[in-house]
Formats: sequence, structure tokens, C-alpha cells
Amino acid sequence: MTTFIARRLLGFIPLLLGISIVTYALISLAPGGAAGVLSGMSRQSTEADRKILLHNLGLDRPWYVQYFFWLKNLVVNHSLGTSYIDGRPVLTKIFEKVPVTLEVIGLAFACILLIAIPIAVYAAAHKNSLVDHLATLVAFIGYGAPTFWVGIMLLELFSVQLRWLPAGGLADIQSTHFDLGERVRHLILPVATLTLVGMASWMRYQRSAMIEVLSEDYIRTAAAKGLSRRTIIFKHALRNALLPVITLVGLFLPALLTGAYFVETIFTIPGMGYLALNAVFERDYPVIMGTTMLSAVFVALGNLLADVAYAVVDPRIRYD
Amino acid sequence: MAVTALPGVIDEDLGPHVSLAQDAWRRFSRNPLALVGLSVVIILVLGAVFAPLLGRYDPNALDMKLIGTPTPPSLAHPFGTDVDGRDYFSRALFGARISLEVGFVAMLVSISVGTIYGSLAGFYGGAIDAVMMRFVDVMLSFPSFFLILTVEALTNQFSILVIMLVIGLLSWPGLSRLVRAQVLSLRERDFIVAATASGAGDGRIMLRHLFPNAIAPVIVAATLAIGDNILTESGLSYLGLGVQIPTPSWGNMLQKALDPDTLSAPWLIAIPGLLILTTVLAFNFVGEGLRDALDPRSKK
Amino acid sequence: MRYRFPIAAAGVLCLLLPACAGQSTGSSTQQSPQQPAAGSGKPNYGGQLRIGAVAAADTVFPIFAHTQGSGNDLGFMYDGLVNIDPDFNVVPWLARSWSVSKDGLTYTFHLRRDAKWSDGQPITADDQVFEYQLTTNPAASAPYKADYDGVDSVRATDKYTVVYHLKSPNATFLASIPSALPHVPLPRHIYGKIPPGQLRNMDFSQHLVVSGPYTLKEWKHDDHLLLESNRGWWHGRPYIDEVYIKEYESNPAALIALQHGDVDTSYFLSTPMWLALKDDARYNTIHNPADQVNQLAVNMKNPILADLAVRKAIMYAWDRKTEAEKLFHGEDVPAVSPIPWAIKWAFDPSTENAYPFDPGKAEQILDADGWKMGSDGYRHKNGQLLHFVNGEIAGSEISIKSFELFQANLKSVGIKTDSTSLEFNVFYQKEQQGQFDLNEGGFGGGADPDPFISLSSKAIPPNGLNYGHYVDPAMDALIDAGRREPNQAKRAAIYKKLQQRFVDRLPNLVDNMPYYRNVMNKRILGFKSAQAGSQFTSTMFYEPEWYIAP
Repeated sequence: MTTFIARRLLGFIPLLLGISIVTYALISLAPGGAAGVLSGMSRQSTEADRKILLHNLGLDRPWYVQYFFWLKNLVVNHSLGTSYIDGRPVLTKIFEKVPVTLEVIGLAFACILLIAIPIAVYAAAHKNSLVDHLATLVAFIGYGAPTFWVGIMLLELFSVQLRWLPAGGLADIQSTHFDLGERVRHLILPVATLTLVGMASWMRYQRSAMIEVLSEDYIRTAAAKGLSRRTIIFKHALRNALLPVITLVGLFLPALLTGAYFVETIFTIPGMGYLALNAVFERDYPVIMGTTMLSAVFVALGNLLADVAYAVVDPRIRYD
Repeated sequence: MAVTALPGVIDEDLGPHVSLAQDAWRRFSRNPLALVGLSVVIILVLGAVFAPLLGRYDPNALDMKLIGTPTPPSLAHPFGTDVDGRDYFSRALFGARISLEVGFVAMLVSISVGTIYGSLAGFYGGAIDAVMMRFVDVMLSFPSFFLILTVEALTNQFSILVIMLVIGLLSWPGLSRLVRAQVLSLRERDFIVAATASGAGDGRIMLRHLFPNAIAPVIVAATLAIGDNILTESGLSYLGLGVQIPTPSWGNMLQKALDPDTLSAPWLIAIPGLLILTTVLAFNFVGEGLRDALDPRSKK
Repeated sequence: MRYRFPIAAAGVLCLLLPACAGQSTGSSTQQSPQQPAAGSGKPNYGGQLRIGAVAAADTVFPIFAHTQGSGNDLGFMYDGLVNIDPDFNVVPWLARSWSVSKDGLTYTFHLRRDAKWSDGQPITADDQVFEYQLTTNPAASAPYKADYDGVDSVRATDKYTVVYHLKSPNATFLASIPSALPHVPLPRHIYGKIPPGQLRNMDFSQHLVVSGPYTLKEWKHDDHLLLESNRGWWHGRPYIDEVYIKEYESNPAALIALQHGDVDTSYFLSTPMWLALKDDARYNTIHNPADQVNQLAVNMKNPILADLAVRKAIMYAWDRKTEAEKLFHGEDVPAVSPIPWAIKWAFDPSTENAYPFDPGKAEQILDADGWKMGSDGYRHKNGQLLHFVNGEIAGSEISIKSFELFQANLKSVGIKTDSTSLEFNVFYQKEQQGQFDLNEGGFGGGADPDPFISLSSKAIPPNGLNYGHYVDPAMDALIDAGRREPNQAKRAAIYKKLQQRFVDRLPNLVDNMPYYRNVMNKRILGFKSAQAGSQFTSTMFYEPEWYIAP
């Protein structure tokens, strides 16, 4: 297993290289180039001016040459370059935003686990009960509705109509220092949106896993030995049922990240999604490359986690 | 935002004397949610097919007397009228056509690509699998937005067909991973090992043994994918890059309804949102039901 | 101080913000009957004004500003040589006076001697020359370099005198260059030693030296800017101590913040935002004709559209009155002119009555032109379908609201139209290449009515915004005459003729003239509603009497 992980980690290098090449090619070939944004605002920007601009940014070379210099800068200077739009280093821009996104995702994930697991366990233990069906229904409502719709509905209800919660951002405008209560109030709606949307899958998988475990022989044996149902569920079954679900963490991460992008847009949270989407619309190539590489690392780590977990859970799968 | 579906788990045991399809139907019909889901899907499909008969109005006809002020649901207009004075019920029906069409065709695209790709990777394993799966990782990692733009640039248009293609092309990698995992696990099963040992060729093993056994999760995933694709279309429409007006899709109806000017007409937002929700839900219930009914692992 | 941009591009930074592209600036006139928000007594110092911005600031250094977001923010921090008053007159600002040579080629500005940079150094003529040198230096990559194409040289003849030499006489010069961000004096003593190529990557957020009423106190990227009053400002210390500019991701987010009371006002409100806020009792309203024209650019390279009869038929078939009254709730006025109605001295009000809704007439024109109604409900001529593709910016509020009416109107007379909405950058590229038959867009944001940029045959992309590739020597002659004429009354006469020709020839299909609308929380006192226009900051400080009661 250790060699497998080591090999996979080594495999990240060609993977990230591949992703960076495809991304660079794609953004260069996509219509609407960088110069359009930079000079497009100007009323009388001429072709000659546009050429100067492209030249100053090094964009008058073929895309693979540009890519080579991007890579060289990364390898030699450990730098992701500077933004075309505001001239600041890409790494600085990314590190400004990552904590915010991690905070939102982390909280949402914690909420999902805290809500989904107990309900799923109860639903599995009382299969086909009213609670089971209700839980399924509620979970799927979150799953089936478009994320932006859920976000906007919550915003409209709790922020605009009832005015219970702030409309966006992470702090009140007036505030001058960090305040925990204020932070929490600002995070309720975005985290609730992500939780609602992400909970369904988790609940379903957890319920299935639990039902499977509960039907295993050793559980029946335990029941036969006269152990209380409570002990069986929490001491024996849950532990084993959590295991296969852990494989999901890896697959769940990128999905949560995508969800966070929508949520950040709706609730005006300056995080990674905000940065990445703006970069795409502004054709800020270095920032697009930076944010893509970061999410690629996320996805790759998630996949590795999933593969390792598969192997642990199902001994029939061998990777060597 | 859909998370790749994993095969579910079955706890029922059934007698040996029924055919697979009968078995499946028996189990499916015992699942109330699946039946509700199936009924809803049938109603939606019928509604979409007979939209011109059911909707009393031209979905694209503006009513110059009603334009500017949406009217709430009434007997004449069960879903009210939108800001252009168009009958929202008719639009919802024709929207069902487009949304279901997009969901279905995009599913065909992603299922075809995903199944072939995933089973090749899973079957051959080793280096081929590693390379192929790394490509899936690549596909899953770059901003899908550029894929949309590139396809748009290549086709130089934004027809419904392109939308279907784009959505299909966005969602096959997840499916291929699912199929591969299935094949990977089947490959180690005794009957495949036996077939290999008896000297059967790759093609024969894949067609005769792997596909029939891996098809169940694909059918399930396909069902779920229709719902997911409808969701994706609404997301694209939210960005203005979905089905183009005036052709109604639930996604672009929602986009138009989100105009702050018509927030005073909440039914305009609620109806397409609820339709999307109901449809995704229905396909999921059917998918879940199918999973429980089809999973060959229950044939112990 | 005007910040100019093509309207089609206004949404650039907010494109992800589906609901924001398309609508842009407007401006003010004193015509509004609204009364100032009465202050109970004398203005006092203190308080914080909170502004909701859509689109984040990219830079605080003027020559790099290429977005509307930055432009509005910079207006708080930098002063130009001259300013534009709410009636679109050029008025003294950092320059206390100026003179124009007889041949119209030389403009001499005399700077006030009491104006200082925020670090206490005097603002001198050489600082304006510094800006000119930086902007025109190719190494600096300044996006507005082309503004100086018509300028031969900018020199400081003494410490407080700047002389501009133009290549040809241009009556629009005053209202366009010395009044406009980003062409404001910059402190050579601070930035003069830095190679222009490196300026772009500089961190300006620390110790920014500015000339305007506010200095930069804090800048959290993509979140907010906090500005502090510049106590040494030549005009006198501003009453409001701090300005907090909160940056929102989208129009809906900014709208919700206003509804929620998080911010006092916004840089601009789109029509839907305005409609949602105008009856809110917490706000005073601002409602003035905007310096903007909303229109569909017509691609003259398409032979069908090059046919004047077809363009006229479209205008008669298009129910712009219903659109304005029902869909936009009377928030704009149909008029067929390339000159925004806010610029009263030049706008010809008779153009408001041009091309009334008359589908019968449209059908007559098309019949006479040989377009025969087919069995498919559309007209054909020589086997050709009467069909156009309309390009739109994805998520444009205006298109989403009004395109379907346009389409239905045209369909009723047998003209088929399809819409294709594209992400902004792609839209812009295709617009430049002339790939649409019709495309939404508009222009405005200039204090001068000169329509050169959208109508002159010399302004065909990439050299301007004449997206229709409209070539008309008679129109060119009128534009040139207007540019050469320094006398306003005589220019007005030229523009009357120009508008007549515009109505006759229909180079673009003008939809309407919008209002500039905004709201201001009632806690802000002493502000004159007529004063706040698109150039939010310049009009605000033209008579900076706003204050917040303690």
C-alpha cells in the first residue's frame, strides 16, 4: 500500500503537467482573448495598441511557447506569475482566498456529517418507517433543486423578507474587528445552502452502507448473543458502515468545491470561486492557471484517497 | 454538484424461478417511492409529448394586454402569466419538452462515452487503466467553462443540440469512473477468471460477461444522469449560456423570473424551480428503485 | 472627470454576474424637480458613507484603470484639470482657467497654486506631463493610450502652466481628455523613478499619494476599499470622514444589500434594481435623464440590412412604446438619436416622435420592397428568408427583459429573428468582427455629444465602435463640422442636421434614452438629488455639501 501511495504521488507530476497543458491550450484557443478585456474598455484602442499590450504580456507568442515560459517560471522561480489585471502575484491572490473557501466548505461538510449520519443511521435501523421516507424526501429536495435557486430562495426569505440574517459577505460593513457571533450569522445561509444541496448523497450512501452492515452475519450473531440494539448499532455496525462511506470523501471534495463557487457568487463571499470565475471572465491566464492547478491538486488528492479507501474496504481490489 | 453514484446495497432474497426482468419488476413495484417517481416521469413525458394539445396557448405568444405585469395563477392560466403576458402553463409544458430532451440526449452522449471508456480502462487495467484514468482526472479538473466556450467557438452557434453535447461531454468522466470500478471488481470475480482461463477472447469476455453484469449500475446512473443534466442546463441558463430564448426551458424560465422586477411574482420563480426539483427527484427515485431491483449482487 | 467606455463593455467585470451586463452609466442634469434632502442645520464633519459597487477595483493607479469599477473609485482620489458640471459644462477644477488658440490647436491651462498632493507637495504642471508621458509610453501598457492619438504634445511651460498641442482642431477635446479619468495629474516625485514597465506590478495600496478629496486607508481586494477624507484638499475638508466602498459580486447581491440597508447608495442601479427600490421609504431617489443611448447596432455588411427600407420597416414594427411603458415601467423614453437626451443643448427632442409603432406601415414598406409573405409566416425575396441573428451579452438584463417583445413584434410583420447570447469576451470579439446582424449595445458616458466613435467611417472596429460598419460621407462631414466648431450654438445647429440625417438613414436602430437612477439613504443629508449622476464622484464633489448628521 505504501508503494502504491508513493507511486500515485509520483504520478501526480505527469497528471498535473497534463492538466496544465490542456488548460493552457484550452484557454488560449477559447474565443475572446486576454487583450480584448484589457483594451476593450478603451473607446479608441487601436490594433497597434493592442499589439503592444499583447507583446508586453508575452501573449504574441504561440501558446506552447507561452506555456513553456509559464512552466519554467514555476519550476525555476516557484512562481505562478502575476495577474494581468492588477499585477499582483497569483500566489498572493490565491492565499488570500483559500482560507475563506476552506472555512465555508469545512463548515458545510461538518454540518452534513452531523446531520446526515445520525438521520441515516436512524433511517437504516427503522427502514421504511415514516422517518426513513421523510428523511429521503427532504434530502432529495436539497439534491434536486439547482444550487443557485436554493441560495436565492434562502436569501430572499431570511435576508430580504424577514431580515433575520445578513445578505452576504463575511462581516458587517460597520464592524472594525473580528466578531465570532457576527461571523456565524454571515455564514449561516451559505453553509445552509451547501449543506442542503450536499446532504442527500451523503445520507443515501450512509443509509445503504448501514443497511448492508446490519444484515451481515456478525451483527445477527451479536443480536443473538443478546446485545442491546443500541450497542449493536453504535458499537459494531456504525463503525463498519462508516468505512465504505469514507471512500466518498475524496469524490465529494470537488463537488463541494463547485457548490462553493455558486454559493460564493450568490452570497458575495470573496473566496476561491470568486477569484476563479472572475479570472475566467477577465481572461486573466496566470490566475486561471493558478486556480485550476489548485483544484486539480484537490481532485487528485481526493481520487487518491478514494482509491486507497476502496482497497482498504474491498480486499478483492489490488493495485500492485 | 452531483456526486458520482455508487452501487447501492440490497438486503432482499428472492426465489430462483423467476426471470431477471420479472424479478426486477417485482422488487421495483414493492418500492413506493420508485413507483411515485415512475408515475411522475410518465406524467412529465406525456405532458411534454402532448404539450400542444394540453396547453391552450402558444407558449411564445405575447399578450399585449397583459405585458409588463405578471398575473397570478387563475382558471384561465393555471400557472399565471409571465412578464410578457405569455401563458406560463403552456411555457412550462413546452419547457418540459426541451428540458427532458436535453436531459435525455445529453445522458445518451455521456453514457455512451463513459461506458466504453470506463470498461476499456477497467478491463485492461494496469498501465492502460492508469493512463486512461489520469485523463479522466484531467477532464474533471479543468474549468468546464472553457469546454463550453470552445465547443461554442467550434460550432459557432448555441443551438439546443450544442447544449446537449456540451452537457454530455461534461458529465462522462464521472460515469466512466463508475463503470471502471464496476468492471474492476467484476474482473476479479470467479466467472470472469474462469472465462479467461478457458481461453475466451477479450471481446467475447467484455460482451458476454462484463457488459451484462455491469449494465445494471449503468442503467441506474443513466436514470440519475437525466435529472442531473436538467440541473446542469438550469445552471448554464443561470449564466445565460443555456437554451436560447424564446424557446422555453425550465432553466431559462427561471433565469428570466429572477429579474428583481418580478420578485413580486414569486410563482414565476417557484414553478420552474419546483418542476426541476420534481423531475430530478422523480428520476432519482426511479434510479434508486432500479438499483435495488437490478443489482445482480442481490442474486446470491 | 468622466470615465468613458463603450456601453456594450460596461458589464465586463460583472459578467459572471448574470444580471448586470448591458446597463451602464447615466448622468444628471438639474432638470429634476426634486428637492435636496434637507439637512436640519449646518453641515458637520464625521460619519461614513457606504457605497455598494458591482465590479471590484483592479487598481488605484489611474493609468491602469480599465474598468468602470476602478473608474468610480478613482474619482474619490484624483482630480483632473477641469471638471464637468451637472449641466455638462466644462468648469475649472485643478486648472483655474484655460485658453484656446485661434486655430483651435493649442490649449493652455493655468493651474491653481494652492492644490497639494496628499503628502503636502504642490501639484504642478509637470505632474500632468508625467501622466501624458506614462500613458503614451508603450512599456507601461496603459489601456487608454489611444486617447492621446489626436494630441501632438503636452508640455509644462512653467511650474503651473500646461500646454496641449492637438494634431487637428477638436471641439470635444476639453470634455474628453483633461476632464477625464484616467488622464489626471500624477505625482512625478513619487513614481517618476520607477521604470514604466514595472509600475504595473507595484503595490499601490500602501502610502498612495493622491490629489482628490479622499485618500486610501485600507484596501481588501475583491471585498472593500476604505477611504479617509483628505483634510488638505484644495476645495476644503470634505464633511464625510470616511467612504466605505463595498464590492458586490452581482447586481442582485448589491440590490439585496440595499434592500437590507447594508449600504447607503450604489454607483449605479440597473432598471430592475431601481424598480425594486424606488418606493422604499428609507431612500431619497435620484432620477435624471442619462447620458446614454440604448440601441441595436445594425450590420451594414449584411445586404438585407444595408437596405434602408428593411431598417425602416423594423423601426415601425418595433413597439418601443410598449417596451418603455410596460416592460420598463416608463423608465426610458423612445427616441431616435445618436445623442443622449441628457445633453440638452445638442439633443433634438423631435426625434422622440420618430418611427411611432405602426406595423401596417412596416408591412407596406416590406411589400413595396419586394418581400413577400410566405406560407411559413415569414417574408421572402428571391428565395431569401427575411431573417436576422441578434447578438447579446449572456445574462444581459435588458435583453432578457425586452428581446422577446422585439422578436414577437418583428414576427408579426414577417421578419424572423433569433437571439444568440454569448459570454462577454466572446460577444465582444464577434462584435468587433461584425459577426452579428444586429447586436445590443449602446454608447454614452461622455460629456460631449460628438457621435464620432459610433458613426464615423473612421471609427470602424478595431478603431472605434462603429460596429455596423456604417459608411456615409455626408454623416462624416457633419461629424467633422461638429468637431471643428467651437461655438456651442453653432455646434447645436450642426447636430440638429446630423440627427435629422440619422433619423433618415437609420445607421443604428435606437431603442430608447434611459434615465440615470439611484437611491441615497435618507441619513445622508444636504445632497442635491439632481446632482448625482453617472460620474458619481465628480458630481458629488462638484458641490461637496453632503454630510451625515451625528
